[in-house]
Amino acid sequence: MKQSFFVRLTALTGALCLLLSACGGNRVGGTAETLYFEAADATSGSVIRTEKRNFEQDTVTPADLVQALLDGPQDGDLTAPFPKGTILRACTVNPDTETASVDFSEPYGGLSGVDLTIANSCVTLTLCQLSQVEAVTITVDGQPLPFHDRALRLSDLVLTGAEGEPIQVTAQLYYLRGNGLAKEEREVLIMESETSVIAVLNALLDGPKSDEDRLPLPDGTELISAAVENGVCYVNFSAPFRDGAPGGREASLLLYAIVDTLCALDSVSAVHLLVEGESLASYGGVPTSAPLEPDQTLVLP
Amino acid sequence: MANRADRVPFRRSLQFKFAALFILLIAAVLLVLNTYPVLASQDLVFQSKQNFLQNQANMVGSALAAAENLTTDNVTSSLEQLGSIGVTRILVTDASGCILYDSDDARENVGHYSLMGEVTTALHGYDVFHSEYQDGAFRSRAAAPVIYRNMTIGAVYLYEYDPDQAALLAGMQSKLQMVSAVVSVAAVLLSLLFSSALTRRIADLLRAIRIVREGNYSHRVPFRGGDELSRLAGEFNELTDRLQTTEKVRRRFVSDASHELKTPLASIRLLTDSILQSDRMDLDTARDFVSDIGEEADRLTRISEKLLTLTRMDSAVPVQNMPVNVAKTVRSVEHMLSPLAAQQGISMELELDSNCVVLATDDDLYQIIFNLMENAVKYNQPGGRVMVNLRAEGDLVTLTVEDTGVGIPEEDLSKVFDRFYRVDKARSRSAGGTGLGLSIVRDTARQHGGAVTVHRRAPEGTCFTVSLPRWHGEEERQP
Repeated sequence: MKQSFFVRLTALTGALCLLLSACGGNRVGGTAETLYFEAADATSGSVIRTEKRNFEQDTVTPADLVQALLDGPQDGDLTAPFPKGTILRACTVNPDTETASVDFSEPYGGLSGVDLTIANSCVTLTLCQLSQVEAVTITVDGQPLPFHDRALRLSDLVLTGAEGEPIQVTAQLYYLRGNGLAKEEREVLIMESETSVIAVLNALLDGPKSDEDRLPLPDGTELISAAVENGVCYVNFSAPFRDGAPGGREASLLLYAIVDTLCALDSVSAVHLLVEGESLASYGGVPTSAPLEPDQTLVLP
Repeated sequence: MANRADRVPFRRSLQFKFAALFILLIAAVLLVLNTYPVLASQDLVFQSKQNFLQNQANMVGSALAAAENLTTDNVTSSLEQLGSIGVTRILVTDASGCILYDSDDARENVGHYSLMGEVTTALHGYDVFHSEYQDGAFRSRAAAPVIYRNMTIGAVYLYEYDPDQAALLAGMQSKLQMVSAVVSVAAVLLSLLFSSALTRRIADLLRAIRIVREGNYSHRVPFRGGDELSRLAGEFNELTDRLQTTEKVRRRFVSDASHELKTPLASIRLLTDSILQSDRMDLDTARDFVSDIGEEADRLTRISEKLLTLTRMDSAVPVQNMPVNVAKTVRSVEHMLSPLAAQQGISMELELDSNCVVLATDDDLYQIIFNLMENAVKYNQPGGRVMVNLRAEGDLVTLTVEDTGVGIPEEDLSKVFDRFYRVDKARSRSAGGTGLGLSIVRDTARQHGGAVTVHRRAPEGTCFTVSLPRWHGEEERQP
């Protein structure tokens, strides 16, 4: 359903790298590929760094790349995350599943914890730049690694915190239509300076795209704050939200448009309405002194 | 005019130098003002962030360390129990770096492997913190290992995005910049103002010097205050005063001297014309006329000699002083003047203390005493008296010369020592005076560290008093 912006970015970067390395290869007669190693001293950013390597042959096989990894980096700031004496026993690619199977000798089995993760990641990142490889399975002397028995893909790896990059999510916004609520799906960009709750709520308050739908938000209403604590989203509006509340069923529909929209987020299970920081006894006939759970019965089919 | 040619180019002027110095100083101060507080506050913020985030990371780490294995479920429930810990993002991994919990759920990272440097460092057992200030926000990251029975079973990664402190800092920075801008403008204006005020006074002084140099000795520099420039202006004004006085004296002296020299010359001219123009002049008359010419020539000689004496004194050639007994000199003067006194029936009464010795030259002392006593005889009434009194008073030797003559009017007393000044011009000339005698007395006395004063004597006549430093003995002789 939702896809992380970061994953797309990683895929794009990978494709770009591949393209560049292919171009480079044509120019010098050999092939340039990117090797992934562990940074010797990385307390921030990613622990994985790249090194460009030129191969003399025109076609570089997965085995060539893994062997180059085992041979270690040329840059002194990088280290190879593999134990000494590790030998590549086999490296094959299944063209149907696009999965590379890499079999190392016994010393590789001595890796554990995060060191094993780093070593696996270096192999996966290096091999996945080849067009025929989408996933990598690593074994030691033909035996699967404990806790690492499934194939690794690029999308399984989180290289950095990436907090500075905006995330695109598909938000489900609920608006009033006739005597009920209608769902509208919209791509929302969550910027670094806001939380997903605030980004989605602001998207909702921007109003519906369809002329059929409406949001009877009282004039002058402002969102003061919105924060999630233990699954409950506390939404704090300014006084006009209470004072200019629409009459009858409209008010309760407005309330549930907000509740249903926020509860569509995984982190939110209930919504507690506040006005100027104070809890209200009721809003549009709905008791609001406690958090409200979503009401899917109001949604039109 | 000359002013324009003399004007200093602005880039080399004092005003430019003062203003530039002042502006440079202010600029340096502002630079420090704009960088140091901001950097120091930024450091403080970093420090407080580090304390806060590391504490929180360790707190979460110990809260999670209750179980042997971390799972998504037990991490989520532990974190729900903790409630909000005031950070933007919490991420928890197991020992292999597999993400078990990420408060930033939109990223859908759970189940993926974290290769973030902070997490891997924490999984190796170290605490990590770093913070940066960029694009109007503080971004701080901290990570800590989750340790269960000395085993690292996972890692906690915290991220805080803080635009509020950054806004405070930016606010402070912009206020500082505003203050700096105001101070800069004020500094430039004030430095121009001050330096122009300062250099204007120097320019005034310079202009005054030029005016005086061109001969206008009456020009004065207006000055206020008590700083060095005012002192300089004051000194300059005094110097100009002296110059003006000297110039006035010089001009009068030159005009007096030429007048004095012209009179005998005119007489000589008249007498020679008379001799040349008369066809039958008898020998006696001619002899008379020639004798008159001789007298006038003598007078010219005397004036020239005395002028030379004064000039010699002005150039102040050092002379070898000797102890001189004043009483002895007075007696020799009296001996010299006695024929003249007898001729006019004037009696000289001397009252001399023979212990009066001064350090001078015999000639100089003779000159002083002779001039005074000669005047006393010459300008006396027939049958008058001249009283000379010499006494030692402490370190001084005092000589008073009194006469019973016509006396000097009060208003002329202060001028009698000026060169060519005469109280009664006709009488003085008929008595053969040059108008230089008293001038010589005063200058000579001064040259030997003494002074001469004059006052009217009751009931008639004048009293001159000369004071000279007394010489006590051999040991005090000047080297």
